[in-house]
Amino acid sequence: MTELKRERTLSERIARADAATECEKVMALHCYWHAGGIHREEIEQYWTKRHPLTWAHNFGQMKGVDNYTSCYADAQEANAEAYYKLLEPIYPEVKEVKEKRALIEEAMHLLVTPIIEVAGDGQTVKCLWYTPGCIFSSLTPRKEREGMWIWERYGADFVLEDGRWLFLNLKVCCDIAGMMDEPGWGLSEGPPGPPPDEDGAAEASELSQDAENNDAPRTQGEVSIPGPLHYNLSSTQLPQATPFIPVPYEIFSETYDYATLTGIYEEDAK
Amino acid sequence: MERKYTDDEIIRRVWDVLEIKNLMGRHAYFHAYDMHEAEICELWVSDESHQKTASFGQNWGYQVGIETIRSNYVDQNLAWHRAALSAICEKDSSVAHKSENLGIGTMLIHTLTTPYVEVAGDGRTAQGMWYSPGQVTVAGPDGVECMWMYERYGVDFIREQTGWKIWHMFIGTDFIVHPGTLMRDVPVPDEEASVSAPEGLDITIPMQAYSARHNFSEYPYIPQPYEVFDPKRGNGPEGNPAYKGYGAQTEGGTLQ
Repeated sequence: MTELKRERTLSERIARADAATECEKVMALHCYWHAGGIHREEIEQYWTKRHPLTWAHNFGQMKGVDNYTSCYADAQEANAEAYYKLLEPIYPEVKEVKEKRALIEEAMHLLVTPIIEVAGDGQTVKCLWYTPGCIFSSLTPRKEREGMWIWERYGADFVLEDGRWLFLNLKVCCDIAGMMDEPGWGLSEGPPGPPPDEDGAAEASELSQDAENNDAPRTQGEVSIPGPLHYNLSSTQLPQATPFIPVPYEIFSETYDYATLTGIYEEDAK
Repeated sequence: MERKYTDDEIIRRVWDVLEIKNLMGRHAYFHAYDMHEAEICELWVSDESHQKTASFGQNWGYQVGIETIRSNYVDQNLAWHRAALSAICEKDSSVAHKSENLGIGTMLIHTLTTPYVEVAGDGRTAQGMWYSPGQVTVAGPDGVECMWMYERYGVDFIREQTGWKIWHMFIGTDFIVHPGTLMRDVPVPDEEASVSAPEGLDITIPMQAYSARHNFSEYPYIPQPYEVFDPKRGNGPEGNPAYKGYGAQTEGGTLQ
C-alpha cells in the first residue's frame, strides 16, 4: 500500500474531507439524473472539461466527450424518442409528461459499500461502489410492468476543476443483468456485448427488434475499445477483480485509474 | 450558487453531512426496532414553530404537524399491533397475549443508499435524498405477508439547539413486489385515482403525492446547492407540484 508522502496541514486535511463528501454527492447525482434520463446535462455539467474522459462498460470503452455523448446522450435520446412513439398511441397522457426521456425506464442504480480515496495532493479522487440496482418500466407497449435486476460495480475517477469535482473516468462492471420475471435471472450464459470485429472497432450495435413484443430497437453507439472488459456472472465465471480497489495515493499517476482496462497493476492483468 | 467557504465552514459542513447521515440511519433503525415514540422525541423537530410545520408525506398525501405524525406513527401503529396480536392469539394459542408480543412477526427494513446531502449556504437547513430498497414483513392472523419495497426519500433537516432534526420527510414508493409475484403482474399505478392511505391513518392533505407511473418522478426534487430554505423546493406539501392548497391546520412552512 502506498503511504502518503508528507504530513498534511489542517487546511489540506479539511479540503480532502470535503472532497470525499463532494464526490459522493456527484456520484449520487449521476445516479438520480441517470434515473430521470437527464444524460446530456450531466455530461455538460459534471464531466471534465480539461482532460480526455472515458466511460466503460462490459461491452467496451468510450474515449472522449464526443464518443461518450454519442452513446450516453444521442443514442439515449433516439431510443427515448422511439419508445415515446410506441407509447403515445397506447397512453396519450404521455404527451403531457415533461421529461419524456424518463418514460423509457427508470434505471435505479443504488450506491452502497463505498471506498472513496482522495489523493494526497487533493486534486483527484478514486472511488469504488457496488451498485445493486434494477431497471423498471411502468408504461410499456405490452401494457404491463417490466423490470430487470442489474448488479454492477462502479469505479470512478474525479478531478478538481475550478473548485468543482467532476467525473474523469467511469468504469461500470456489470455482474448481473437479468429480467425479474425470468427464472435464473442471476446467471448469464456467456459474455455480453458485441464481439470485436477484425479491425478491433465495434460497429454501432442494434438489439434485434422483437416483433412479437413490439420493442423499439435500441442503438448503443460506437466504442473506442471493444470489450468484453468484464463478464456477467455465470456458472463458469471466476471472481473478477475489476474495477480495482483504490488505495491511498499521492498523485493521480501513482496508481492505475479507471481508464485502465485491466487490473490495478499491469502484472495483475489477466 | 458560487460561494467560498472558510476552513471552519468547510469542516462544519462536512461534519453536518455525517451527522445527517447518522440521523437518517437512526430513523431507519428506530423504525425497524419499533421505537416510534423515541424517534419522534429524539430525531424529529422539537422547536414549537418547526413542529407545527413538520410533515410526513407518502404516495397518498401528507401528515402535517408533529402531533398528527405522532398520532399516526405511534398511536395508530400501536393500535395495529394490538389488533394483529389479538387476531393471532385467537388463532394460535401458543402466542401469549401480552405487550411483549406486540409487533410479533414484523420486520421493517428500509435501507438507505445513494446518499445526496446538501447543506444550505446559511447552514440552518439541509436537504437529502436516498434510494431505499427494502423489505417489509408483517404478521396477521392469516400468516405473514412479505414484500420487497423500493422507495425514494426526500428529507428536509433543520438545525436546532440540540442538533440536526428531521423536519419534512417524504417517502415515495416506486414499487412493491411480493415474493413469487411476477413484475408484469404488479399493477401499473393509475393515472388519475388517488392512492388510498392505510385505514386508520389521519392524512392532513390527501392527494396523489407521488407516482411511478411515468417512472422517475420529478418530485421529491433532487437537491441542489441553495442558500436559504424555500418551501417550494422542499419536501413538505408546498414543494409538491401537484399540491393545490393547504388545509386549515397549519400556518405554512416559512423558516422564521
